Amino acid sequence: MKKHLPVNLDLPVRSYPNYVYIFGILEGDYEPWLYSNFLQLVHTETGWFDFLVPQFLHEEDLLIRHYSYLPANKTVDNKQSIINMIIEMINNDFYVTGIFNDYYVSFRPHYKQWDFDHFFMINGYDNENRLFNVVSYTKEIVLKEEKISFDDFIIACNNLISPTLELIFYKQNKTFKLEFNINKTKKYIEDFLNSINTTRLKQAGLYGIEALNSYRKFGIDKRFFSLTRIYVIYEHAKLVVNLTEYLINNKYIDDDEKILIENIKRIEKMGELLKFIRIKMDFVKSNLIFSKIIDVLNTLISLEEGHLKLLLEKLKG
Amino acid sequence: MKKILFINQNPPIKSISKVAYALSILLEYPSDYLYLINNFIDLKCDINGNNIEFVDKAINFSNHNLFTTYSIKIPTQSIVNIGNDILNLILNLINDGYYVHGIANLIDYYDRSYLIYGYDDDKKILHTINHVKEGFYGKSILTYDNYLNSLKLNDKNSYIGFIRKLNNNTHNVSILDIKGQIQNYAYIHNDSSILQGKNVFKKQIELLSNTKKYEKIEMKPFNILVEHKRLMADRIKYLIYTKGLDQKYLQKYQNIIKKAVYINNSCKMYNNSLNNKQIPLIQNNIQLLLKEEFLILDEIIESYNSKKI
Repeated sequence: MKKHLPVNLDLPVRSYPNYVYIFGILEGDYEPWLYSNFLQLVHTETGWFDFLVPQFLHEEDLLIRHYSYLPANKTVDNKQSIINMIIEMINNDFYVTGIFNDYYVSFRPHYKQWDFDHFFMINGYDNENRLFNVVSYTKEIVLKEEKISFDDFIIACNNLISPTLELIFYKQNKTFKLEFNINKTKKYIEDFLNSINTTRLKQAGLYGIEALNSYRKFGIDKRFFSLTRIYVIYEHAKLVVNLTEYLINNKYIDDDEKILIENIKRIEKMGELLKFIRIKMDFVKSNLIFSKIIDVLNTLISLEEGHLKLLLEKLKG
Repeated sequence: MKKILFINQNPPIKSISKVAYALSILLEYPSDYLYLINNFIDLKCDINGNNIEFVDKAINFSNHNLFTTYSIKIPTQSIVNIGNDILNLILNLINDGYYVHGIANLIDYYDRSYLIYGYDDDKKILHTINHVKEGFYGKSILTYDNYLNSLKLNDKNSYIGFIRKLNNNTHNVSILDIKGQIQNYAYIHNDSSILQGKNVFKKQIELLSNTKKYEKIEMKPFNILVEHKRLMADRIKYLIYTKGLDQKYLQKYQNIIKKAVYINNSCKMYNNSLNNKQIPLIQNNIQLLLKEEFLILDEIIESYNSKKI
């Protein structure tokens, strides 16, 4: 017996796995919904920089969610129970996310040097050949579907650095409507520009423009910009571009003077440039590259701020 | 193969299942009883007098200083399909020292929650402790089949928790903390959503007036009443033997326990007779108990203030 659940690997946002795997399973055109909900950024006191992921993403209004938390070092002892539980959940159309130790995963040779707990998503199985279908990140931050044997999977879970084997089972709640919401969009643009958080998800940290500036300062002080976090900034810029196009195309605003279109072309260009230079930074260690990232980042932040102000003015009519 | 883990079948709090289970695992050695000295001093309930609970410093399975916990929550239908796998998981984890806790539709049992502390694979049975009937917290035996069948009767989702006691705890008793909590209990300090301290049973007096004709009284608050007084007496005993509190307070407090037991018995008698004339008597006895208890606790606080302890 086998079963394979569909996954979309071409995603508009793919910086961090806590929302990426969820986007991967959503059916229908959810991008307009994304524009209303993925505008806010947060830089927490602990140094975490990311989108402020809406609370409902992890609640039962968007997802039907179940879980299994078991002692990781007992995975081998409970091997068949855990495999059968995963298969049972897939048979009921649940995807399975969790963390395993990449050191023990054959298709992740670049982690062969050290133990590393990494996110995965199981979206299928083949009982006859004793294989799971697993989606996970490659080292280039690209999602890819691979196969892992039941045995290797169990060993990779049994050897987690974390004491807990976390398996989260979820599927889309089809009654939840993924729709664009203009009022929410206006509110979140305003929040972003005022650097405040009015959602019910409370995290101690800085928001919006202040979050961007604070991460930029953090990078300059530490003389390091993480690739994944630069991806967050790049993807945020991309979403601002897509949102603007959506608003124009759906006649929420007009852009007769073509100012907004010009703005988003420049934002898009700066976003791409930022990503490109950051990737280059891994190969060319020089002060020049580092200064270039700071320059591009400064320009991008100021472009986004100016553009969102104009967008908000137009939306308020 | 069989395995039986330690279980204290007579914890000092039985009226609240989740506390009873935690204490059944926790109270293994005499020194573990020190948990009770600093805890369970105050009481609380909601503004309508429902959901009476002890105020404690998280003596429950979510407290990661006391317990290691794991859990699964899956659709009940899946438990039906992979019941034997779940059972194997449970037996393996019991072998590793984990107790198993959850909710199941245990037919003929008073409480739907259970705690499994052992199994015997030859006899295909699980050893459990729970409220088999009202007011009786004790050990019982479930066959594998009965257990799995009762899980199948759960609502949409089924939860199973795996709990192991941590053995690296030290029990520090803070005398000032006890004083603070006794003051909290004795003097009124409600917020807008909950009632605390003496007001919990003042509210019960009020609720008793609303008892309809031929309606039974819920016994849980009055079981808590007795447990609360017994624990307070143990605390006073501790203060006498370790901190020099005057012996007379224990003698005085023994009377409070007697009164609490009397009130509890009166409620049981009322439930048998449903004679409404007994209600004012019960209300009056609670009133007297609270008054007398307050005087004793006030004197104990005075002993603190005058540095007699």
